[in-house]
Amino acid sequence: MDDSVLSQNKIDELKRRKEAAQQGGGEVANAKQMAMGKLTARARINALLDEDSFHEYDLFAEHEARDFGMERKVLHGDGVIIGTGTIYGAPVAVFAQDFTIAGGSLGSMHARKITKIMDYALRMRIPLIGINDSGGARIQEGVNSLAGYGEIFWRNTISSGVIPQISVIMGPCAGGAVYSPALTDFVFVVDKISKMFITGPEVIKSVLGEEISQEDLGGARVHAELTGNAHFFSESEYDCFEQIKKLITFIPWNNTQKARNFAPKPPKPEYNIASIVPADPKQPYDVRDVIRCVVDDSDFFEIQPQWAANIVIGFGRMEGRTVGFVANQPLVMAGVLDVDSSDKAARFIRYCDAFNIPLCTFVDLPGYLPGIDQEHAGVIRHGAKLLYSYSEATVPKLTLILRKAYGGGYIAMSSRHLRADFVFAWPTAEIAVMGAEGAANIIFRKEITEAENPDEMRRLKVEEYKNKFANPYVAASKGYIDMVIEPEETRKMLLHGLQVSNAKQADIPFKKHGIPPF
Amino acid sequence: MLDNKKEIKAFLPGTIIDVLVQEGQEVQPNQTLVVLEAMKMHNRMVSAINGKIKSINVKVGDRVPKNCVMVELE
Repeated sequence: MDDSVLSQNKIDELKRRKEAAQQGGGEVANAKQMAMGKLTARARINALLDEDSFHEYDLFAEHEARDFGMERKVLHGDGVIIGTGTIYGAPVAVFAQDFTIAGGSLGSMHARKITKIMDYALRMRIPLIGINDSGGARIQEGVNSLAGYGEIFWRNTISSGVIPQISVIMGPCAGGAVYSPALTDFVFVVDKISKMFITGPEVIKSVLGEEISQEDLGGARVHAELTGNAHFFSESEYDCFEQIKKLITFIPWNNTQKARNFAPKPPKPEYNIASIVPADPKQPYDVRDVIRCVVDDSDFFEIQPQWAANIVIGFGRMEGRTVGFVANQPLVMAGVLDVDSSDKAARFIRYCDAFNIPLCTFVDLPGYLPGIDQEHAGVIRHGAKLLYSYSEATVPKLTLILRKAYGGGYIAMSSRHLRADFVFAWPTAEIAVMGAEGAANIIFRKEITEAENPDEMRRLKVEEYKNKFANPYVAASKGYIDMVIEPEETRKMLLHGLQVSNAKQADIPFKKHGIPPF
Repeated sequence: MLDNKKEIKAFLPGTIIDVLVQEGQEVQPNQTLVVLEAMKMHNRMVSAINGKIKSINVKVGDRVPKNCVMVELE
């Protein structure tokens, strides 16, 4: 027997072993998975990554359960696939739990594989994408399984703000397991497939006697519309992968780099910036159309569109460079700030700041939402998150006041006082401590009540206040606004602001970390 | 549980400025049903779903309290 035949035998054995290990839970389990509208773990990775770019590690890992007859069971790869690959050429680290193998349950080897790829992602400073599809802890492995979750949470936390971390929920993700996605930057859910909760319907029923389905308790729509735990919702797994790939194009590999530059494109001609915002401040409009007027190809990639829609967040490009947009949305609840919208915007601002993405803020809001429920839900603390995030952010900060900027809302929305680098306003801007009606009633209370015709006097005084303060020029006269600009000049001015702040240096005093109000 | 999308409620107390639909009318997602003035804005209260107007509980000029069910769909 010559050497080449011997090595051919070895190669054949490797191939046999790989083939066996790559079959997942076998034909029956794979068919069951697909009948639920779900792809297999391996098919998911292939759908997400560039063709033939995936390289798998620890395919031959074996589980370590030695009790309850588990020692006789073969769990290929211990129910999770890990490896590295590329998305549009950008390197990423991936793990995908395989529900067809012991329900994707997390045993100690399963957890060690996940933490291995997490360590790799952090060391190589590349994004981590985790595809979650697991019944939870592997009961037979007891406390080792809990230890595994803890090791994952710790790595999520340490990697936070260093590498982008993306969680994809493609099956159950319940109990302790769901805290890993919660610690990551972006959570993707798929209709009818994702299920996320801390305590499931059975526990709720036994403890509280309340009955609810998994879908109504923690389905994709619940987290996309109601809780804000999810950032991206899609109808199918394939749509979800397209969303992830698009997100990857907007963000850098890690916190020492900038997002990739693309070829500049002008906004689409059908978006006419002068015709979107009505002159009457009582008329609503879709602020996303204003964003589409300034971003390349009018392509605005919105984040959390279904939740707290009174504020809009997302990415766009200007002359090829990624910019993070935050904008009040007059179309929804008049664009007020409240508990949820403050929380939503604050987290996005911190994301952009951590990953060197400049911020553009469009302001048009009547203020904070009044209400007993808001006050008792802690709007003081949640609203403060917005002030905190804007103040601490050292990336370039550009602000444009479109119409209303009153009171606390004016201060919170990236004002000069929170160290915005550029503050522009349209001639339609109204910057004042409060709206004209309320202000006139307070300032001219005596004149109004003592007048022969109080209603007429009130009307006159409201008009007087409006003429004096319902414009951008008082703020501009103090230097709080750098320039009042025509709507058509917006993109040009923002681009110039981005250009001159590209090498911005902003020093903050040494600290271990701040204590934001969360 | 998700909000009941068949009930269009006032998010704040306000005044009804306009009613744009009639009982029995078929409506589509994002179609404006009533206009509610609140927080210095003429807020367009839209349908989130495809449906048919079951009842309209307000008329132009009405002052409505918070959470008032202005329109019901079926």
